[in-house]
Amino acid sequence: MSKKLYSMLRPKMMPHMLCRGCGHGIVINAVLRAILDLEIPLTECVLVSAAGCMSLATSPHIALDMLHGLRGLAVPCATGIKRANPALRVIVIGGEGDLVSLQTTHLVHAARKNIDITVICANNHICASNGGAASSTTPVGAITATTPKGNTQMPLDICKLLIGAGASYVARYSVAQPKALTRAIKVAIVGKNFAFVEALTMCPTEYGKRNNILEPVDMIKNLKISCMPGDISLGASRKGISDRIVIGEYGRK
Amino acid sequence: MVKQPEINFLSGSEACAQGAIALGCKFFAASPASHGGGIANYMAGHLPDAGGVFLDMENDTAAIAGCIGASWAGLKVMANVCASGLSDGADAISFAIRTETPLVIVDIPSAQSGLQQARWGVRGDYQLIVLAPSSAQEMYELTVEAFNFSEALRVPVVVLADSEIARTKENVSTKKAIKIINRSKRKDAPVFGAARTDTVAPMPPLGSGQNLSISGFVHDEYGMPKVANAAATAKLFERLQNKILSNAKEIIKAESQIPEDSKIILVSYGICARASSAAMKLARKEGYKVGTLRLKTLWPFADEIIKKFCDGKKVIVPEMSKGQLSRELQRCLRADVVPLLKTDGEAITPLEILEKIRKVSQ
Repeated sequence: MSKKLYSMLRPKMMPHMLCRGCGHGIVINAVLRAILDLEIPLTECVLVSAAGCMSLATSPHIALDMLHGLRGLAVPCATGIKRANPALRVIVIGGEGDLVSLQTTHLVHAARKNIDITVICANNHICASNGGAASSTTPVGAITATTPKGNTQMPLDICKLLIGAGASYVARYSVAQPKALTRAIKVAIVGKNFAFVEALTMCPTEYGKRNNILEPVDMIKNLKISCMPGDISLGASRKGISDRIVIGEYGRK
Repeated sequence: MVKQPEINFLSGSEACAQGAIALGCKFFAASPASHGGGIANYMAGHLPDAGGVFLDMENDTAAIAGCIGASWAGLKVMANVCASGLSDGADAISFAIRTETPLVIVDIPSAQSGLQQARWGVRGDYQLIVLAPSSAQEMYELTVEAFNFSEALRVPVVVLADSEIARTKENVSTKKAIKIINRSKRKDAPVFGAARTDTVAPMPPLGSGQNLSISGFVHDEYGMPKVANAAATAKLFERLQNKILSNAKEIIKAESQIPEDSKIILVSYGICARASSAAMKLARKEGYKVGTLRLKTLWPFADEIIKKFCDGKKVIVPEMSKGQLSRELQRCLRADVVPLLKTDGEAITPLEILEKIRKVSQ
């Protein structure tokens, strides 16, 4: 790892708690690389994390100003920080379990305000840290702790929802396209508008095991096969486990 | 030349907002559900002119969460919640207490049903401060005091206002110079702890290069999470309690009007305290030996003051709830506690209190 990237971490607080094969590491890596590549002064960056594995992964391991563990509160808190001190770069980072279920309202209204914050949502289609409950993006038919016979609820297309709410920049990529993901995060941070990046990722421990995908590398392969570049404002086209998912960007000038 | 008025005719809400602005509040958030309090409308009009930010949020959770962020960005912040708003924002307040975030919340519940919730509605074994104004003048003064406590002790402070107090217009004098306390922004000490549990740590703002770790989890004095660590958990909770309780004498205030010969004490707060005052005058005229004790601080509770004035006496508690204040008095007194409960949505009148005084005196 490059020296500069390493200097953004707190080595004394290692090891981290992520499982073998978790995709969160790639998402966090992309965020940190984006910040470095943009040469943003580190004292200007504020990370706000939501509840779940993503908050335990980012803190205390990242050495930046951070508010973490804000279950259901990360987006409005970030809004308050940005309005109070517009010179700060505020980045919300969380999983879809918190961001898409608990903070749907807050995301919609932050998009309406066009508040200049960046929201990075690591979507692994399950609420992993509380034992594998279905989340609002779990595909139809998937087995989870709360849907042992298969999920029957429609997964929410959060990108389409936020585009509808007026978000200026929305992007969806997966950890199988790390360079595109990093680039999208950079565009999101640089823009002076509300920006949302959905990072499709994987949870081998809770999702993979229950749905007969035993190796993390197979989950990456699945992402590679199902991701299809297109117009994300038209919807993810994803209902069931083996359906295609549209990736791309909306609003990039 | 026309002399500027030294006294303003303001509603409690307007006085509260003016007090906040005069003290240097630079950030206010509320949701449309809580605009009925009147404070949001005033702030929307006046706070930006005073160099502050008015943030209109979608619900009360978001309003308080926004305030927490702004507080860490270095500003003095205030939120207004009405009716069931405190229920909505309770988890956010809990986060603010755990991270020792200064924050003033003006709560205007229905009747006097919010007393216990202001203390216990926020899940967790915490201490916070709750003040109870009983006039528009006090809405001004106690809001100022709320900010000062909040900054000095790094704790959320609730100003619990009855809707009668919030809405009634009265004379408010804003002449007196106000004392302003600011949090320490020193960068040379841990931000979440100190050697002694009664010491308040400094609070440098976001963006000052401190790599702040503002954690809702159990944490050590540097903010590093210490999940499932018994020693760290015990230390943090003791600190959050002791920080407030060790300053009880400065925080807990009450106003007593108790002549030497008093045999019956009326204990109340807010709008009921005003009825009690009037009832005392009427009762004294009829020969009843009555005194009043008005609580200005509701939490931490004024156990010592109440014992001092009420032990051995007959105590009448006029309140607009089903006994939320009475039960506290029953808990701390060896005295005859007689609740006077009214929950039909209307304020208790001096005559109703006088009737009770007559009854208990038979």
